[in-house]
Amino acid sequence: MYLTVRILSIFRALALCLLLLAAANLDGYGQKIYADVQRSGTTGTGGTITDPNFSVDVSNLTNYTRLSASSTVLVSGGAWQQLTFSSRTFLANSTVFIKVNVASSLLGGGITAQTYVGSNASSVGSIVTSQSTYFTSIDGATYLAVTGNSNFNAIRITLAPPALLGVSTADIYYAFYEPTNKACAEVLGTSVGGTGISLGGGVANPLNAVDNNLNTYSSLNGGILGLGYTISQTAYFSNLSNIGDAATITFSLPPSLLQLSLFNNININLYNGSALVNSGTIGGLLSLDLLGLLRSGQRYTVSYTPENVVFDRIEVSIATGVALLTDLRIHEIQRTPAKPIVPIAHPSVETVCYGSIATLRATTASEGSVLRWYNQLNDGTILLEGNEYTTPPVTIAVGDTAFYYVATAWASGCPAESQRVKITVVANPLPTITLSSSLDMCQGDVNSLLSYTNIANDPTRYSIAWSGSPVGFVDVNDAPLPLNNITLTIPASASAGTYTGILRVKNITTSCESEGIAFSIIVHPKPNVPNLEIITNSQY
Amino acid sequence: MKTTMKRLYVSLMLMTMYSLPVLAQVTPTTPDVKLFCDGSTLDLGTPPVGSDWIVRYSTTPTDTPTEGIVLSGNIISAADLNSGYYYIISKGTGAGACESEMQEVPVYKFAALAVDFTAPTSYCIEDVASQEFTGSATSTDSYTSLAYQWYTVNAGVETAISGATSITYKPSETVTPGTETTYRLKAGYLVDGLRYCSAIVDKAISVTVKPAKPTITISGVTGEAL
Repeated sequence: MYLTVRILSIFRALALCLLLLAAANLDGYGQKIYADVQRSGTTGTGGTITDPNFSVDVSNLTNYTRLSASSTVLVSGGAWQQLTFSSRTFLANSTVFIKVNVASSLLGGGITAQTYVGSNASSVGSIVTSQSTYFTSIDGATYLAVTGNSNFNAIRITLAPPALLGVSTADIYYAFYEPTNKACAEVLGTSVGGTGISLGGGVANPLNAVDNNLNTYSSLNGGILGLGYTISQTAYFSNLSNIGDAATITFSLPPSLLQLSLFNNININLYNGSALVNSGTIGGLLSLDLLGLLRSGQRYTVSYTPENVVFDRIEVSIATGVALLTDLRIHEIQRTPAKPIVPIAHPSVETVCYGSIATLRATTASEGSVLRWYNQLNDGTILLEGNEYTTPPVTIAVGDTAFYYVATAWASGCPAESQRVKITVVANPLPTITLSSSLDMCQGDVNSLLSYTNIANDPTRYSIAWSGSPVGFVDVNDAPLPLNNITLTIPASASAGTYTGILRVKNITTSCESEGIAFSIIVHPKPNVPNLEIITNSQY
Repeated sequence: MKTTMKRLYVSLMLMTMYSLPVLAQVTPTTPDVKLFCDGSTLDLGTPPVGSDWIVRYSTTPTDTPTEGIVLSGNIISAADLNSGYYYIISKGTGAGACESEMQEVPVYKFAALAVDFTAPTSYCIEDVASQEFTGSATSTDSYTSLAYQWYTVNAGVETAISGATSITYKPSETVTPGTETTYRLKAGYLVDGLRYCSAIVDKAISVTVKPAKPTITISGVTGEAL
């Protein structure tokens, strides 16, 4: 009996754990939370709701609820649907997204969204003040982004009767909220905007800036008139960033003459919902050595990391009337971990000895991210994913440089990466000497001079490693290098034969050591002592 | 007190002087010495196959002789042969070949001797008993132990005069008067009973006969007839 109770207790505990894990999986690990309860209704006469539960059926996100509104000569009516998150109440300034399909003409006011609090299956709850906006997703759908000014748990979408006679519809697919996480930051879509009107200004191919393809781009054309106005493009993300995440913009310009100061007219504005929380300029993220790259039309990625704010929208705006930046090409607007922290970043240089490997190190300030190493600024194959990259032997010429780059990305395998931070590697030349030909010495002798010439790159120390560790031969480590000759110490007991060793010389300033210089010494046997019989010949 | 200190100082100095090692010069009695005459050469003979002789020299024994001797063939020339220590080394003729350990050869070179003796070019047999030839030898050598031998030389063949081994010689009384005899004095350095580097001097000495008894008729005073 007792055993049965214990087993049941264990099963209950396991079940509770599984339940908690499932809940956590729903709420905190990158998964969207969908509205799961709906209420709907009509206004006036003539409005209808078709398949009202399809918009809360998360098992099939391609289904939709259709709201229809009509206006006739005699009557008119609209429809509404309230989508409720039964398990969540969102804090003020949270943003919920609703995927809809409506005629663009309705986005000017024919369809509206309103947040509610206290909503459930039997009550609509109370209205909460909110702001909403809309944007287009990559697949051409429209999203409404609705931000409540205070806590809320539901959104009502209302389709007003058409202003003119006729019928209008709004298809509601689903509403969702995504908590902050460290998975890939999903760009839902983009919108374009601006202030004022600049002749010839606008944004071409805006979706190309959020299509996760760095080779395509939108073009922000500032126009030639309307000085003081702006053209902007905004990317919308499915959730709020972590503190410390970066707004990462990849951009290029048509090949042209540029001045760095022109980039001060390109702003990066970060929003939490509809609230602007931080601003910066691309110009502040660039250095002079990039001008050549940008002038040649190549793309460049910058990561802008605001301090202590979270955001779910990134707006890139360009001041109009700046003649030379009339065509800013935005290849991608992404949200990534902050760019890596590199102890020795360009223009400082990492110095190694010629032919040696360089161990490059970087860290990431964004928890849950990884470092990716490259040997080119754009594109290329990942050399390594990790905090430390060991280069191949550096064999660049003296005065030349090798470049490596490191970027951060979420460890969940997102393709989106931060700005690649450049690391410059230079090689110190190796000291060298030229040894004389092989040495000969006699058995029993203990010293032999190894002479050398052709000193290059300031060797001041030498080391000798005898091959095969012959008995009595002692290796030399970092001994001061004498002028012209190195005295080899050979054990008196060394038997006749050939002994080989490897000599290396070192420049103590650079700590660079030459490649091994092989040498050999032949210990010759000694002839026997002469045994001359000398006869005195002067006797008489 | 002052005197005592002085004595102590002198004693210490003497002790120091006597305790200094004295490197011996070669003498004719140095063990294993090889003796040579002034003007001699030293032929080392043919070296082992595939090797050459190397000769170094020092006036005193040493483990590190530095003065090299240039051989003429395998011969140490007369000019290079001096008293001292010669170190003979064989060395292969191949590249990097080694020198053997050294064979030490102490050499003593006697200085040249000059010999002479005083004697009349002739003497009367009647005076033979009073004759004595006196030899002399002069040399710059510090070694002064000499041996002498008197000879008669006839037709180039010397014949030792038995017992005539001192620096003086009394000619025999049996020499036939009226004849000329060549006497030779040979002197050499005497070492361990053996003689070296001799020099000779020859002199021809005549022995004259005793004149016959003169027959003299002496005419005395004639008796006078008184």
